[in-house]
Amino acid sequence: MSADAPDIRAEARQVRQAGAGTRAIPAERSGKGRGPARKDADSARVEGRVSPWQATALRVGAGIVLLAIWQVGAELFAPSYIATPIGAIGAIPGVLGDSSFWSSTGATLLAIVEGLAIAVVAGTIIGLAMGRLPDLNRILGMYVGAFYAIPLIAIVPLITVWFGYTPQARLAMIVLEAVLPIIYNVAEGSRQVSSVYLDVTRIHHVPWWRVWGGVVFPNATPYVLAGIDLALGRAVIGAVVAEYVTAINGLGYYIIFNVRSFPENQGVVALVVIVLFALAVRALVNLTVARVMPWYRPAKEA
Amino acid sequence: MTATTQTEPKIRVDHLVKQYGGRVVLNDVSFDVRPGEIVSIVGPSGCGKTTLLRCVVGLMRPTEGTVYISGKPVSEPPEGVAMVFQHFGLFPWKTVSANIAYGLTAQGISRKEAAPRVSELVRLVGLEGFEKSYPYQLSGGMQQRAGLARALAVSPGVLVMDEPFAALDAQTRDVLQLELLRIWQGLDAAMLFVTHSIDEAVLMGDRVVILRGSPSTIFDIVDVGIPGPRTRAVVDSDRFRSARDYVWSAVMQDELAALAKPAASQTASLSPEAPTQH
Repeated sequence: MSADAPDIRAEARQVRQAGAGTRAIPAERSGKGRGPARKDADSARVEGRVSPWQATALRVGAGIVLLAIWQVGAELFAPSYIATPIGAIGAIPGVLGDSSFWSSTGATLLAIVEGLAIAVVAGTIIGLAMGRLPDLNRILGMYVGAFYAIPLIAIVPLITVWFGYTPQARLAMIVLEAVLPIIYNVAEGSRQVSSVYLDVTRIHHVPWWRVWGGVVFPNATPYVLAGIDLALGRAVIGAVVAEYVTAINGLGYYIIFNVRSFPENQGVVALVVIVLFALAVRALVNLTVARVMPWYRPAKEA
Repeated sequence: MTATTQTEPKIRVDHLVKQYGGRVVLNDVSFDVRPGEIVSIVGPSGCGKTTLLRCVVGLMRPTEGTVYISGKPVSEPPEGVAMVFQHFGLFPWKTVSANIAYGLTAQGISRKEAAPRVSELVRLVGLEGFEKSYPYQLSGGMQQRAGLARALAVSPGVLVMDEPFAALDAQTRDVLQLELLRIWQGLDAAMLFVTHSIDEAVLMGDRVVILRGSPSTIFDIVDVGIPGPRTRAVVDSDRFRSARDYVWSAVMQDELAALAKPAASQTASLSPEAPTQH
């Protein structure tokens, strides 16, 4: 029999509490925050030394330095029509007053949201199935891997042939880009189900669809979220690239049209809008997770 | 073994053999558990205790022999059997009360209908105030209380415990052993209790099945003969001590022999593990 190596202090505390009454329980509830404090002490992560406030200041400072290099470099070495940070800031009022900018923004962002939604639902279902059905994985795994490896930009010409120069081509491109990382990650996460959970479901005669929905899927949550994170970036790429090629109304087209006809600063503003949108979607996903899945404890931010 | 069966046994293990690949792990294991009885299974680590248990609950098929639960041969997990796991097996995405309700909701009972039963069990295992907590917010001992409550929620006729307290610290384990014995008073089920702790096997079990050898077979079945309700005081009784000493020497015989033989001279200072905890 294995001798226990007792942590005398902790146990003495527990015993005292447990002995206080028949119902007493070791009230070792670890704080109200997310995650036990103990975990932080154990983790061997390299911790930065600056406070959050200082970190923000440094972050902003680094951005200003980069922009300054760009500004000075462009003024010293580049022709005058090249975009600069100050030029872009100056272009903002004009861009915001431009109705074609707003219709482009609306078209692209809606397409990304729509494509992402389709990709998340389809990718999760396909990923779950591939993760739980080894035979299906054997059949499809190679193709998912192959598509994941190639630059999908190469497919855009094909897609334009199938769908024409239409918003549907853009949507197809977004879905194709976004669905792959989700399938890939969800399949991986669905394979990693602890056998104890599956034992519990078998003991209680849980039907397979409830095992998938109630155990395999929540168990794969970290993977689903990682997949969505990757998918978001790829969806934006898909949308912009499709617009470059097909010249349908959207931010990608807005950028390429402006840059090629010399109001380059306007193009930069559109670029910033895309970046802000991606950050906003990410924040929204994190917020939703925190609300809907209070049990989920993401790794601490770096 | 003098199991005169006036009543039909809840669990009957009949000449069970389990092989992995070509290797026989369990050989010719037979015993039964009567209603209201706790039978402990003890043996050195790796002797196939958990394998035996998984065969009993139908999570695994024996190579030969049959397990009967309430007279019916087992091939899939049967109705009326619940299990408590060493590492609790609580779903981290469910609250304590949702975890406890799991066996009921799995049967299609709504959370609302299950609520009275769940709060009854929360009280029984002493988790009041933690119904809405998530497992990560609880200590190991409290998580296993929830694991026990989930198993009891379905009012099982057979309760199977797979080293339920092995992942807990010594003091929490002591508390939970006595808690389980207290809860057991009010139940009418058969319990199969697998443990590697000899003290625990004797404290919990009306009878103790000792597995030994390679492949493992039943070395003996000890009638502990301490009438319930058992309390902490039991461990100081002569009856407990003699049963424990007997089980200890039976389980440890092989290990001690192995330890003593090859390297007796150079490992004189390496004493075998102490039989009891202090």
